[in-house]
Amino acid sequence: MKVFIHVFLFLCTLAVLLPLLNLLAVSLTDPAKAHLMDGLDLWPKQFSLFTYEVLLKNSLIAGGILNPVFITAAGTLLNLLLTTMAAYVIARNDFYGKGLVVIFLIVILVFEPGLIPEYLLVKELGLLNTYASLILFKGINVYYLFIMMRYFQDVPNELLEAARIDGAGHLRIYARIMLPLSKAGIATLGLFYGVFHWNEYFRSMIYISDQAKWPLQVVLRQFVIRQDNTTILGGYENMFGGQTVDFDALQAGTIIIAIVPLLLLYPMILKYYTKGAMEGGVKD
Amino acid sequence: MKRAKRLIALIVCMLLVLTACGTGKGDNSSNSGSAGGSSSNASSNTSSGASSDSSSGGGSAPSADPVTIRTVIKDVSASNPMYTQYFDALEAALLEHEGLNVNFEIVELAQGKYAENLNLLLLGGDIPDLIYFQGGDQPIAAQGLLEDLRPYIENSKYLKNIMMEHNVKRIENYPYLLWIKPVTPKVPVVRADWFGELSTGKALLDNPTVDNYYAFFKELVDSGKAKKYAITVAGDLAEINFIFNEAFGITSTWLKKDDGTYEYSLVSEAERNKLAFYNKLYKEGLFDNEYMTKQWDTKEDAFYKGDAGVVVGTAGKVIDLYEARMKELNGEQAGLVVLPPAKGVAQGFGATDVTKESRGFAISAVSKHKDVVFRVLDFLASPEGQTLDRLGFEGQHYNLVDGKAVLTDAFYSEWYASFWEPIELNTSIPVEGSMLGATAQEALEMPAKYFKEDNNFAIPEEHVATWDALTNLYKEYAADFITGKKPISDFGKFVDAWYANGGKEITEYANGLLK
Amino acid sequence: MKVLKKLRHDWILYLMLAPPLAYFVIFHVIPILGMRLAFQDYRIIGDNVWVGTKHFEVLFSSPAFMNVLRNTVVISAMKMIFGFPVPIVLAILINEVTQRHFRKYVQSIVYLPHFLSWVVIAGIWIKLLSPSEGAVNLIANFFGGPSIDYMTSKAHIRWVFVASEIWRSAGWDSIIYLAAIMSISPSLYEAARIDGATRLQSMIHITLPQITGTIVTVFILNLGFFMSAGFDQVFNMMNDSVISVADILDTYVYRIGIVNGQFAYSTAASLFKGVIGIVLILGTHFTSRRLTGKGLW
Repeated sequence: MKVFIHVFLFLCTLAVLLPLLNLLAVSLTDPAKAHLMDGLDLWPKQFSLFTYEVLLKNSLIAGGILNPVFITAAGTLLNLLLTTMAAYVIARNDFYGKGLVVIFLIVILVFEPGLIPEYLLVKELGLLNTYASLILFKGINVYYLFIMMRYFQDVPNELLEAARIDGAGHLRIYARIMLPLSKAGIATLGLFYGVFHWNEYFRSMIYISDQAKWPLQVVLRQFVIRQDNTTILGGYENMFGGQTVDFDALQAGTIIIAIVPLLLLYPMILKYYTKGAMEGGVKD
Repeated sequence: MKRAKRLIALIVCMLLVLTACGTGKGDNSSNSGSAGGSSSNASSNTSSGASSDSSSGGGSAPSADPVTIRTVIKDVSASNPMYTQYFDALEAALLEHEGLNVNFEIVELAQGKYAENLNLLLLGGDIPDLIYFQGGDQPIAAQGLLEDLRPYIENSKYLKNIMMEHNVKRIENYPYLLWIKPVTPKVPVVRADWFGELSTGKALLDNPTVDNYYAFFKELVDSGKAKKYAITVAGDLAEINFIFNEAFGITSTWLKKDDGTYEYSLVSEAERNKLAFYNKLYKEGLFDNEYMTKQWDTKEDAFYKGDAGVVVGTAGKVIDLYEARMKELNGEQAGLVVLPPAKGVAQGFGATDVTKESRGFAISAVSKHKDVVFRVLDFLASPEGQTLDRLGFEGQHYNLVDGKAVLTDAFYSEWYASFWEPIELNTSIPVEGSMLGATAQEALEMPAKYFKEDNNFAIPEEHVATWDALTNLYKEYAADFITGKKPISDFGKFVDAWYANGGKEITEYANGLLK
Repeated sequence: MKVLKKLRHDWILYLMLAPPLAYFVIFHVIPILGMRLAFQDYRIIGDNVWVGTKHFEVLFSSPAFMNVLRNTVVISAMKMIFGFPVPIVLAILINEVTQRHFRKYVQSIVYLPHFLSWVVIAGIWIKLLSPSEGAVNLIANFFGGPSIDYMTSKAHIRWVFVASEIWRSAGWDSIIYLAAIMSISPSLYEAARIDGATRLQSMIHITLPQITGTIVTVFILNLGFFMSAGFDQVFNMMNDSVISVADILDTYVYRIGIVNGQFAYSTAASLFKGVIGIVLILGTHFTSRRLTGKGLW
């Protein structure tokens, strides 16, 4: 059985890895030869870091990495605080109005108002063009909230009973019992929220960054003169010192760059995935 | 201690939320659009909000205060130095030649999805004076927010002279968008060196019948030049139809039958014959058997790699780009040749839609400076305006040699006209050589020879959903006929289904309209 | 006055709930109220015009509408039936791996496709399934099987949707279950081992039941989105050959809205989807509570 599990899981990782390795290879290929790469090639036809030079030199990464990190961290902390507090209240307590609150949450979960009403709201609040609008707008994700509630519900009742008998108030139970025993769950939601903020930051930063510096904007610009979406490959000689750029390579490179921080972050999250989080909580 | 910390954290959170509400509840900075973007309201002159309106009439005395014109154009941002330079130059030229004192203020939109972001901007109530549309204009026009441009064009100095036939027709039908560019259908191209070596190629040029096209395709593949198939397209039949529609008799969207009534071209005998022909090409491997899953980038890859012999590309600069890339990858001799449309019942690249411009510039109906805005557009049609817009900056994009403009490499790689591009160049400085490569130029001029108006019309809102269903019905049947999943003898079934599902009502409507 | 007593005892709960609720009210209630746009014609200048159910009628008037609905339901159901168990199985299997490095390796790789956009994934899968040069068909040929054009086959395209969805999301979704598995007490496994249970038996009789709560929660939550069968995926993977079996509600609404301005139609569709979502959530929640004792809350 153990062997089977290992082999199966390994095959799963291959299924995932191979296309990504292909993307990596394309991004590392010399732009002149990149179009010769097809979906099965795992090795660059001609190695070149040029695509990454273009992306890193001219992109927002060059603008400093601290800002997105800070904003992601701040946003995630706020999310986690709000989510865990709300989850504790709803999941482990009965109070007047609980049913209403839950129905309220479900309504918010399933109805997606769409762009206009949300945009108008942001405008009314005067939060247009501020990054704060993004942080606050997704302050709590209802889906994640329900998941957090489930994690809290899995904390054994005996622990809470014992604490209540000892005279602990809600805040203490929340801080001393629920949070420490749900490390894996909190880490998970932290990952989810973190990834969300990270991606949002770059999406909005594209709007703010200096247009002249962003090469892909030149690509985009060119789309306006034509009725179709053909790419420009020949026209970049002057921009990049005589070397041409390949659209597929650029796209592959962008994807790889986006994935790298996550590859680094995830092992850190895994630290919190310790078994038997409930052990030691129950004294007998 | 911990409890206090928690309480403090709680209070901080509440404060955060309250501050968010509190900040600027009233102030709609009306200069920027869309969530998350920055409000760079930059133009190189210091701009003032309101400005005096001194634009009445057409006198050439310089106005006292500059008129601020707010404009939103795709991918144009004040943070791009090329554009600040461009608009500065335009302002200077307007002052010098028209006596107009104008200050452009560029409205910033977030990158990507222009039509959507523009829509958000407009629907939020912020309507710039001069708006470039690339989709999404009809609901705005329907609310009466776009100015009817016909009277302005009537009284224009230069614009009405550079308008081409299709522009005139389109403005008549939908007077809100102006876009003076040549008709650019997609034209078939093939590598010049291959073309030269194939005997069927010459026959094709002399007499581009459907049979000769077939023979040419066959030789492309049989000779081994095209590695996999003769022709490929990006996902659907639109591109290959440019070549063959007219030859089979599909000369417009609604075809007149012998009895004088109109029938929809897609349910006609002509369509049936054409689909049978495509099926033949497909069966013999001449038409890419995986054309349906090709996107524009994989289609181009196939072309450059040599898998496909012929592709269809938009006439004009796109052909230049194809050619440049082809030569780069396959050598100097791999330039491109433009092929003529197939000849049969008729010949041409298809009828041109004249119901409206699909993109273009509009003037806000609630603008305080409509006249001034139009005069700017008019100026851009004058020789001086055309020089600036089409040639770029002297010294950077062209050099003056003996009174002629010699275009630089920078011109070819980064400059293009933001406004009008009539086929006949009318810049104040004559241009040495051509602005487009020879192939691209020919690609542009060939369609002009075959120009004819289409008789399609906008589908009224109550039929929109039905029309969508009928369109998909056709697409799926056509795909099945071509790939051989259904025999072409089933075409009658398709026609019946088409009429039964709403086609009958729409045909009646069409006949009422097209009398 | 028991009520008052309880309220006084619970005041801190309400205080803790206040910031989250405030957030929801400010940032979500108003836009949701704005969904009344589905019953109006939006006017930039002046008041919106009330048009009642006009937009709904237009949407429902297509001869293909029932077909579109059917596709949405079928595709969503297929994804639920075949796609839902995969992350669970994956999480349980990963949990069995004790070798630390291999475990970390698997966990770090398996969620990556989640970050690819459907534009990219569609490109990858189209190449993968190409009848002339795709890996899948090459392997099938090697074993003597025929080449199938999966992407243009009406019989296969829905399976392609399911498979690519699994490929993309199973790893990411398994993270939720892994976190739940972490809170299972190891003493349960100890006891089982002493009793002579095999690995498989532990997995089925301990791990699985212990995360039933999470499974039910995720299942019910996902039902809330049942009518959104995956716009980005279908939009990028659909082609002319398979329209009749692949067109879903969201792609349909998208097309209808292109010319006349989407927002009214997409808001109407969102309302429609939301109502169905609520019915499904509440229905399954109460049923599940009765059957398994566990529900959404």
